[in-house]
Amino acid sequence: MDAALTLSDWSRSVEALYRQDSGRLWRAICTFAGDPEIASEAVADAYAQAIRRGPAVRDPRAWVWRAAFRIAAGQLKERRAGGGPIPEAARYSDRYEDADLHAALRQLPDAQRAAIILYYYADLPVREIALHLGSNSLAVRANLSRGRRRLHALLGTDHD
Amino acid sequence: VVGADCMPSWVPTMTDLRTRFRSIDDMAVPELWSEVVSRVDQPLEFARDREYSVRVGRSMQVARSGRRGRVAAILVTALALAVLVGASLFTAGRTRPAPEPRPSPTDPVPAVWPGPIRPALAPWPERPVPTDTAEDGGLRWVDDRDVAWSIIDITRVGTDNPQQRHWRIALDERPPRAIGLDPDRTLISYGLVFETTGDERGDYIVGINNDAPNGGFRVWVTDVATGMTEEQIGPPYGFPIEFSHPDERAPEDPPLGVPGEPTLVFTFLGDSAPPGLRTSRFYAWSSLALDGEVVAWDYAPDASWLRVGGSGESVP
Repeated sequence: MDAALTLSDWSRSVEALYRQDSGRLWRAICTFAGDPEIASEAVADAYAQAIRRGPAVRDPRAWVWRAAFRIAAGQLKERRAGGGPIPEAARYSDRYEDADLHAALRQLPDAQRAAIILYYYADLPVREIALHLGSNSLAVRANLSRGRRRLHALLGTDHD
Repeated sequence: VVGADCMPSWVPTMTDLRTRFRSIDDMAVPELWSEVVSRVDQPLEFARDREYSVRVGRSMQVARSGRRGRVAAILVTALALAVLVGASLFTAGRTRPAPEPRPSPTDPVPAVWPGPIRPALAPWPERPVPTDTAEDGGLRWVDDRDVAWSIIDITRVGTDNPQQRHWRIALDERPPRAIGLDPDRTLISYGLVFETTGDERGDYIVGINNDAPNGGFRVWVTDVATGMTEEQIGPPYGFPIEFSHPDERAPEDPPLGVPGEPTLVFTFLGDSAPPGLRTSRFYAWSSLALDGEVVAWDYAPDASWLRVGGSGESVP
């Protein structure tokens, strides 16, 4: 009974996290993958897995973000490996107010794009980005630096 | 941009990017909680099956369709496979003398499975492993056939190609197909331990086992110092570590190492390897758990580290 109550409490706490954070996560994943379907799959799957794993997940927010990015990256990788279509930003231009930004992001490698999105959209510091991506701070800094340089070149803006 | 006229000239780029990224907030977000709950509320085996379907990239609609219809087929298939695997394990046990499980002769032999990290008997000697790309895939450490369970008896270990380093583990016998195994009854694990700090204790554990639904694999990388584990259960694979498992290869496929010795391969994609790991000392490990108890294991080497680099022929 206690275990069931604990699991139920855990489920409620994950739902609270979902209500608070899933919109931002979905938008970040959709921007990362360029595909709303991948975003929905990854986000729903990440929260479901978090509930199944129970309170052993120490930092559920970071865990869910990391899982969602991993699932989305895996699906992108499978599409590339299988020769499947990679979504063009223009296809979803009706969703994006700034289509140029999304087109530029699509040209960055996955690791750089994820770091850029978490830094500029999710407002996370480098250490948190490393935690959310299951990476380390050095790699995140390198990806941020390279990604930012490339993004400025693609957008034709000044580099800071 | 609101307030742009008031901003000092040295912040425009950062502000510009942050402002542009705020346009993402205009995207409409679908309500997914009911989908989350539907995935959680499935009976365990059923939910795992669905999870697998989603992860391999099907759309939600495709994953939902045929859900009920597949349950009966899955149960029948699982039952048939359980019988087949049970029979094959029984047959394998009969064809080999002395199938009594026992640990490999690590010195001293621990009474219980100590885990992937060997008991500390520092300092371990180092064995240089040539890293040239040879036909045998760099499998230059030849390990004793010292475990009664041949499916976890490591016969060779090696690494190659510093540009995209692969670590290889050859086995005495191909393990049974994961899809027919119940991981709660039979759990077969393989992996590597890396030592990056020079203190003779393992710092990173890499592993793969059949603790995943539908014949999939669980792969993980553990940072021993922090206790943090990155894992992937079932596809899509690639992170935290990419691999090739004998289960994925047909008998007619060309061998990844020495013919007749099924070979596991691990590699880190992109820059996903922890710092210093690609060039650090390492050894391979394996274990077999039956009904939750580890009954046999192997380390290769048992009491030394393999060091990347060097040249020459097979390491004694």
